[in-house]
Order: sequence, then C-alpha cells, then structure tokens
Amino acid sequence: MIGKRGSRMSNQLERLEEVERHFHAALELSPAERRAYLREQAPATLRPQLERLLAADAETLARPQMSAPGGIGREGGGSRGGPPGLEPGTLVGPYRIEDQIGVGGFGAVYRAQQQEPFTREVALKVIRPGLGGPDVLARFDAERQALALMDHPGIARVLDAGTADAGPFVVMELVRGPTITRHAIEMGTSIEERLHLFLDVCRAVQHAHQKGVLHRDLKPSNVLVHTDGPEASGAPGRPKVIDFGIAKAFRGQLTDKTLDSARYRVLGTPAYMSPEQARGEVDIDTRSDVYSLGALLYELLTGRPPFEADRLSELGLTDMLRVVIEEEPPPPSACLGEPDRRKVRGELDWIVSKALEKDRRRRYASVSEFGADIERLLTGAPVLAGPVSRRYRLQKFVSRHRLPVALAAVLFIALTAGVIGTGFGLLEASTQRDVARLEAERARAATDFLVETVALADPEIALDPNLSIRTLLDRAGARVADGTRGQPSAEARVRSALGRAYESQGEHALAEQHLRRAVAIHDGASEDVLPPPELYATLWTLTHVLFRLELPDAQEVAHRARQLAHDMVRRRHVELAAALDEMTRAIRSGAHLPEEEPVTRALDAAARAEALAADLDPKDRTWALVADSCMDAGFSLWYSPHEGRSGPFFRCATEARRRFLPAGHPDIGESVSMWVGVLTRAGEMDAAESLARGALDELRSTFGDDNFQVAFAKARLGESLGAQGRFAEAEPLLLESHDVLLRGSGGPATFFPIDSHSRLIQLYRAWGRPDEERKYRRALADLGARSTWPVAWAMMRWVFEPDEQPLVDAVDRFVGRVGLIAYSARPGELPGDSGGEATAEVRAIAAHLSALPLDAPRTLVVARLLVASTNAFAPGADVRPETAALALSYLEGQPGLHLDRAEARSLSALGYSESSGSAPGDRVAALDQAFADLEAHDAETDGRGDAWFTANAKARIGRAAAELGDRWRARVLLEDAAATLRLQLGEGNRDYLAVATELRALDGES
Amino acid sequence: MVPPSDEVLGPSSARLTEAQLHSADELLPILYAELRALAKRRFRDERPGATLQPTALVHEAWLRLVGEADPGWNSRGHFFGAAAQAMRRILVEKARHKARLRHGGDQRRVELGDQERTAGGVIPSRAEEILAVDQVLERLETRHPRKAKLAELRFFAGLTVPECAAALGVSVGTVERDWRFLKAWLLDQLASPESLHDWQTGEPHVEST
Repeated sequence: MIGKRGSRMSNQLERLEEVERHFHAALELSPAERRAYLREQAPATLRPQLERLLAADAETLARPQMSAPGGIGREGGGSRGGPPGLEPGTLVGPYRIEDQIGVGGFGAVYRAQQQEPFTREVALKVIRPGLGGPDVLARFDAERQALALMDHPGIARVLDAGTADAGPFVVMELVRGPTITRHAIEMGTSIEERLHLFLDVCRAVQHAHQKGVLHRDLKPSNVLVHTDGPEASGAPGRPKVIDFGIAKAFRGQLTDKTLDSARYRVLGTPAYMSPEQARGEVDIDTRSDVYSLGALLYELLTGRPPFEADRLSELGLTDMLRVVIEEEPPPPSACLGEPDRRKVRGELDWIVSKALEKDRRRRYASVSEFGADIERLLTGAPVLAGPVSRRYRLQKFVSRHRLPVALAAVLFIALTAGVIGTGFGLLEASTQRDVARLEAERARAATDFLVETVALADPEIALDPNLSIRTLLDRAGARVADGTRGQPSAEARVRSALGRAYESQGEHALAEQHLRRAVAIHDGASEDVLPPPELYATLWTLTHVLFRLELPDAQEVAHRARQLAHDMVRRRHVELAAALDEMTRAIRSGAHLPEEEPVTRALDAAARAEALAADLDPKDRTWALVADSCMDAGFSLWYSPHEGRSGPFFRCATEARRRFLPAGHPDIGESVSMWVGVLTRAGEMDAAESLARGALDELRSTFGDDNFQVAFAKARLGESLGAQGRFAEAEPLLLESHDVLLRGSGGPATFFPIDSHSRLIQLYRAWGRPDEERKYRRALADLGARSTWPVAWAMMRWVFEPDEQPLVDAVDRFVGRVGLIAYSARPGELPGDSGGEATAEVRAIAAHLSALPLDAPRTLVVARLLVASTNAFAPGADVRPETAALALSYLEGQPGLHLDRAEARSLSALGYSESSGSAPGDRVAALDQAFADLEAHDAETDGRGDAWFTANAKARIGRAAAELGDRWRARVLLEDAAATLRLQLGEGNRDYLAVATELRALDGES
Repeated sequence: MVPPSDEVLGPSSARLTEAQLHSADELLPILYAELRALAKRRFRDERPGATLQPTALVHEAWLRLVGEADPGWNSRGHFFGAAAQAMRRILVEKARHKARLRHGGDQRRVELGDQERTAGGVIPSRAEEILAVDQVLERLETRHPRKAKLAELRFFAGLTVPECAAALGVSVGTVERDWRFLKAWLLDQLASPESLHDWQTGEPHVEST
C-alpha cells in the first residue's frame, strides 16, 4: 500500500502544474461549463483528480470552518460524498439547481439559477425532511411580512419560499465569500479592522431589530463577507448577515419539551446560543441576539467560540446546555498570544464579557448600545463595560450554584490567596497591573476549573443549599482524581486548592493528604506542574498543617518553602530578602537559647524588612513573604523562652497581610489571633480585646460560626476577657470554640485541643470553679499522655506545675524521644535529617526544657538529654557547640555527673575546634578536663555504673578525641568501650561493630 | 525543580543580528530553541483546554528576537520562513510522541491534545493530521519547493495571505491563487485512505521505484 501510494504520488507531482492550470481554468467557468471543459479540454487521466480537486475546493468554500487543514482529516474525507443531495439541473419550483454549496443544520444549501421572471443566481435552502412539519410554511409566511420590511446592505434579502418535491425551501440573495471569521484570518486583519467589520454586523442586526425581527441564530457561518458577484447588494468586503428570520420559522420546535437530543444535534452546536435559548425559554428578545453577537465577536478576536464546538459536541444534551447556561468562558485575551493579548486585555475583554453575561439584564440592553461601546473603545473614550468585580463574581458564583456563601468564600479565598496573595512568578509581566490581571484570570480559571470538574459534577452539590462546606469539600475531594484524570497539572492545582480550603477550615489531616499529593505530583512530573507561586503556597500551607499535626517532616517542608520564597523574591528585592534571611537565621539559631541577643538581632532585621517593604506596591506578592517570614519567626518565639517577644512579629505579619489580602481572610485572622494572645499575656487587655473583636467580626461575616479560624479568634478573645476577670463573658466564647477546635484538628493530642483545654483550665482556676477545672485538667493530662510533641508539652507547662505528674511524665517521654534519636544513629547517619528535622526537634525540646526551673534530679535528666542529643548529629552540625555549652552551664557545680560533664567537655573541645576564634590551647584544655572527668567517673562508680551507657559515652568522647587529632586518647577510650560492649552485648551488636570499625580506621591511619 | 530563573524568564532573548536574520543556517537553530521554550512555557502557563497558537508563538518569537522596529519585508521573510520550518519540526515531534503514546497502549489522555486546538483552523491540530501534512509536504518539497514553502508558512507559522506574499516575494494575487489550489490539492491528498494509514503504522515512508 505504501509503495502504491508512493508511485501514485510521484506521478501526481510530475503533472502538478498541468493539473493546476486546468484547475484554475475550470474555476473561471460556471458549473455546467466546467463539466464540458473537463470532458473536452482536460486529459482523461487527470479528469478524476480534477473532479476531486474541484469538489474539495467547493467544500472549502461552502464549509468555511473546514476550509483550512484545521479540519482536513476526518471531516474532509468522511463527508466527501455528502448526504444525498439534489443533482445539478434539478428544478425546484422555478429554480434550477446548479451545485450544492453547503450543508447546515436545517438542510442543504444550493446555488441555483432563477429562470423567471428574470435570470439570476440565488441561494436555495431545502429544509431537511422531517424538520419542517405542516405548519412551518404558515409560520414562515407570517415571518416573511416582517422580513420584507428589512432593507439593509448588511442583510441578505429573503426572496421566496415554497414547497417542492424535495421539501419546503427558502430562497435568498446569494452571497459569495468567506465567513467573517474566515475572512479575518485569511486576510490577517488587525484587531481594529475586525472591530470595524463587527460594527457593520451590529448595524445590520440593529436595523432588523428596529423592524421587529430577531435573528435568533447569529453565528459566523451566518455572517459572510461578500467579495464579488453582481447579484449581491452592498459594498464588497463588507459583512452580510444571512438567514434572518429562518430560525424562528424552522426552529419553533426548539421550545418543545419533547425535543430529543438527536434532533437537537441536527440543529447544530449551541456554541452561539444564549443561555435563555438553551434553557428553551419562549420569551426571547433582542438581548439574545446581543449574546450571540458577543459570541461572534469572541470568535472574531480569538479564532474560537467561547465554548469550543469540539468539546460541546462530545457532551450529552444536558451537559451541553449546562455549559452554555452555567460556564464562564475564559476572557478572550486569555486565548491570545502577544501582541494581540495586550490589545484585547482589559476593555475589550470587559465588553465581550458584558455581551456574554448569563443574566440578560446585565448584558447590553440593545445591539446599538453594544456597538456604541465598541465605537467608544475605538475612539479612546471610556467604555460602559467594566471589569467584573471579585465580589460580584463571588455573588454570581454563589447564586448560580446555590452553594452556601461560605463555600464560595472558602474556595475563592483559598485560590486567590495562593495565587494573588503569594505569587512571586510572572516577573516578565511588564507592570503590576498586568501581573494583577493575569493572576486574577488564573485564579478565576482555577476556581472555574475546580467548580466545573469537581463541585458541579455532583448534581447534589449544586442543588442542596444546606450542605456544609465540609461535605462539599469532601465530595469535591472524592471526585478530584476522576475529574482530572490524565491532567496531572490540573490535579495538582485542584488538590492544592482543596488542601488550602481544608486548611482554612481547620481540617488539617485532610488538608495534608491533598497538599502532599499535589506536591508529589509536582515532584514526580518531568515538568513543573505547579508554577512557583502555587508551589510556594502549597508548601507553606503544608508546613503549617504538618506542624499542627506534629509530623516530623514539618521542618523539611518549611525549609523548602522558605528556600523557594527567598529564591523568588531575592531577584527583585535584594535588600529586603537579605533582611528577611537574617531575621529567619537569627530566630533559627537563637530562639531556643536563653540569650536575648539573637532575638534582638531578629527584631532589628524585622524592623529593617518592614521599612524596606513600606515602598512595595500593595499588589506586590513580596508582601506575602514578609508576612510568612514574620509568622514563622513569631511561632518560633511563641514556643520558646522568649514567647513575650513574639508580638512584633505577629503584628508585622498582620499588617502585611492586611495589605494584600481581602478583609475577612482566614490568614489575617490567624496572625491577629496570635498577636492577641501575646498582648493578653503581656497584660495589654484593651488592645487585645479590640483587636480580637475586630478580627472575630470580620471572620464571622465571611464564614459564620462553624469555622476553625472563627473559633480560634473567639478563643483568643475569651482568653483576653478571662485575664481581665470577665469570666462570665469569657466562658461561652471558650466553650463554643472548644468544640470546633477539637473537631477540626488532626488528632486529639495536637496543638489546638491542648491549647483549648489549657485555656479552659486557666479560666476555671482563676474563676474559682474547681469542679470544672478538675474535669478539664483530667482531660488534658489524658491528651498529654498521648502526645509526643514538645509543643504539646510546652503548652502543658502553662497549666501544670513542674512537679505535677503529667508534666513529669511528659519530660520523661521527651527524654525517651531524644534518646531514641540520639542512640538510633551513628555520626553522619541520622536518617532523614537532611532538612535538619531531628536537629530542630532536639532544639525545640532543649528550648522548652531550658525554660524549666531545674532541681537536681531534673538537671540530670536535662543534662543527659542535651549531651546525648548533641552526639546524634553528624560532625559539624552547628547544634553541637551551642548545646554543649548549654549543657555545661547546667552541669557546672552539680555534684557527681562526671560522665555527663566529660561528654559535654569533649563537645566543647569540638566546638572550640570548629569556631575559628578560639585558641588551640582551649580545646586541648577542654579535652584534658573531659579525660579527668572520665577518670573521676570510673573512680566513683568503680565499674559498677551502667556499663552500656558508660561505654557509649566513652566511645563518643573517643570519637571527639579522634576528630581533634588526639589519637592516643581516642584509642584508649574506643578500646575500653569496645571491650565493654562486646562483653555486654556480644560481637553482633551494632554499637560494638561501629566502635570496632572506628578502631580499625584509627589503625589504618597510623 | 527547575531553577526559578528559567521558569520565569525563559531562554535568553538576545536580539538577532542582521547577519543572523539572513542566514538560514544560523536562524533555524535559534528559532527552534526559542519556539520550543515558548511553547513549553505556554503549555505550562495556560489553563487546561487553552489554545496553543503556533501563530502567536511565532509572532511572540519575532517580538522577542527582533523587536518592534521592523527591519523590512525581506528580513521578515527570512525570519518567518525559518520560524515556520522550526515550528513544523516542533509540532511534528510532538505529534510523533503523541502517536507513539497512543499506539504504545498508553491509556492516559495526552494533555497536549487539548492544548493544540487551533485558532481559526489554519494550523493542523490533531497529531495524525500534523504527521500526514508533514509527509505530504515532504514529497511536495522535492519538486515544488515554493508550493511546499507556502503550505508550510500557512500551516506552521500561520502567516496570512499578505504575509506569505511578502515572505515568498510574490504578489498577493499569486498567493491567493496558489493557495486555493494547494488547499484543494492537500485536502485531496489527505483524504485518500493511504495517507491516514501511514502515520498509523509509524513506519518510515519508502519511495517505491
């Protein structure tokens, strides 16, 4: 077959010029003459090909949308024969058929020759059998009276109608030329020229409207730009509207409830049909034509209809109508590339959107008003149409889908917060205005997408106004995989949006699932499926969720989010990024230490960052980074010995968020609530109360009462009132919020439930209500016993005294936890600590413990803990010198504890060797002291101490000695440790094996 | 993750020199890289279902590589000629990849399919069409390079009739006439059942002798 085609083709190529000559010659002739020409002038071998070519040519003219290779494939081949039509020469009334020039929804269209009373060429439309019905002609006759009144160069006249053997037919003025959209593409007309063409169409339709005739079926194939032909009236190159009034006569049945989808399809794509027509409403007026003209303008500008025909035709009737009735097409500019995008974006987008409004009351009231707005645009005057406000979109979205307001708010806010609020990409957009517009478009597209694919696909969601947000999100969540199948980018974005929506609802566990999946899709794809701003928003939200769920990789994700954000902003705001970097670094390295210096440094950096940020445009997404960094810093301090100094960071975050987020946004609520907490504890009650009330009102007006951030704000307000002794006012607030906070968290033993319990305990304690206090204390002790996270314990210390059992238990659990980290790892092999996760955890624990007033036995615990933990990390981990110093400060002056002191000293020695400022003598002295402590330990215990513990400590000190180049001491200690470990644990023990390996390495070196 | 700078700024957009504009050997690789990068970014930026317009990409490349100042029709001709060729390669590569996926039993919907919808139907959209058009043009080139070039400009760079005329250095009337014939001829070529078969087998086309 291949070979055959090859030879046929080369043969054809050889004679291509000859074929072309005959082709053009034939085109000059009438169809009848053509047949004679082919018979008499063309070589017989070329005749079949020429006939095919002429047929193909006729097809490209008659079916404009198929005239280019865009549709060449199946359609071109499949319909070559066409439906059985009338043969040339057939008489239909007084008209002689010449050739078929098109097939439409109503039937076939022919070029025909009128024989009498005079000869002229006309277009003759034979109505498809079965479509007409007996009353069609009667209806058409009534319509003709009105049609006869129309006389406009932009309207093709209807000349006649009747019934012949072939069926009912209509005769119209023959217009030769491409459709208006085809013409625009073929000639490469500019946007301005297209608008002028379109204005001509508006004038023609307006004329008809003045005569009381609606078109009802305006679409590109009904607007032709006629190029020649003596029969046609009007100037060449101007558009002409055909088929006026035909729709009313022949499409009367459209309103019939019995309409079936098969027939509906016959009548063509509803791509240009107004929503009220799609709904089958009887009361159609001029605004319906306004809509169709809007759709026409859309295609004229973008090359495609608002709803793509391919897509519509794949849908069933119900879905097809739903799309027309409910879906918002993307703005025209979104379908264009530069430079056209720039020209269309803004006013022209607005104009088209106004014409395409679903609610006809919001459209242009008339075609002349529509046209006038375009004229204003062309002359540079301000247009009537404006950007659709976010609030209005939201409103429309809600009323359209009858969803609770809160769902819309949640979805929209989650999406815009991610994209508008925290986007850093798109730096190539030339102005902030462009950026804002582009992002609004993207946010809206994402909302639409989410609603389309997920929410609307479940009819119950669209219809039941009483579903809770949670239920809606759950259903959306269940559908997301199906709704986005095969589109990883869409799935990632939808999951990111859902995750953020869940997070704002306090549904942390569900949020985690979706956000993690979104990130996993992103990481697994060969290309970036989430653009940096969205990836950032996803990671940042995930960080918070992980912290609240107390999951160990929170730090790792936080680190990645910070890196990404800094990378994004660094390129534009160098100084600001540097200030934020410094702030973050100071907090990370020093928040857990008792010293004030790092905190002061962070505060200075924050003040500098704020001053630099003051010049930012409110729409600049750098604001988001300022806010997020401040929140991060604030949270770090809040759970540290410096909790009272976190206020300025939360204030800074609040103010930054108020700049770029809409009022009532849950993120503002979060930072305000944290700030209120700081103020309350600092005793600034008036400020705390007024802030808390303001935040609560804003949040409640958006979300109602059953919302996580609302509950959190209530809790903070209640806390502040309780601290002022206004117990009776505080109690209902705290109890209301308690339920929501308990329900909305990842687990019972996590941050918010513990936080909420401790508030109630404090309230009842201060109020003198021991029964209630006891009830919540018991509940909290129970929760505490199930939590392994230092933050939970840190919060418990607000409630329990240091020697109370729940707190003692908690300390023990942390010792166990750190011990596990410390002893489960050899140097350099701590699993998963690339993001500093374990380091950070130990640091956090160290910070909380350091805040504790220490008695002697607890000192032992703390010291062991710190010393052991610092050994867990790879050489060079920056936590080592500082925790060693901290441990030593606890150990100095304590009786006994030689072994711990020895370890701490060896670590200081390492710390000295790592800090460039110290003299070599310092570390030698430190190591000497460590050795002295070890000897004291051996003397004191006389070998009766915990042999395994001692051996491991000796091994660790031996490693430090090796690292410091003291090979002799290293060998003594390691051999000692190895002997004990082998004796106690056997040769297969991994501790023993590790030490043995180190010994061999030491031998190898010497 | 791709470093953010690549993501946001795209490839370097150094302006073309006069000499580069006139050297097909230099122009083609530059345009190929530029258009691929633009297309890639467009695919990623646009929402699903959005339209990829090779025409728009080519014009965007023009703005980036040449700028607003028009260096004259001659240069435009060279540029768009090379751009059409580059775009053709890119689309053919994509189409091959897609066809392979489909025939490799991969049941996933290929996302590019949605995004290659055409604007105004000048550019072939479906993978099979692109491959079929490419093959037909390949043969046409052997004997009728000007006609093949015209088809390439129309299909793959989406040039308008007047632009084609300028690029080819002939009159608008000539292009209109040539195009009308070419359209019919291509339609006829592509409608033959064999042409649809070839891309499906994915086998190289062997000229029989």
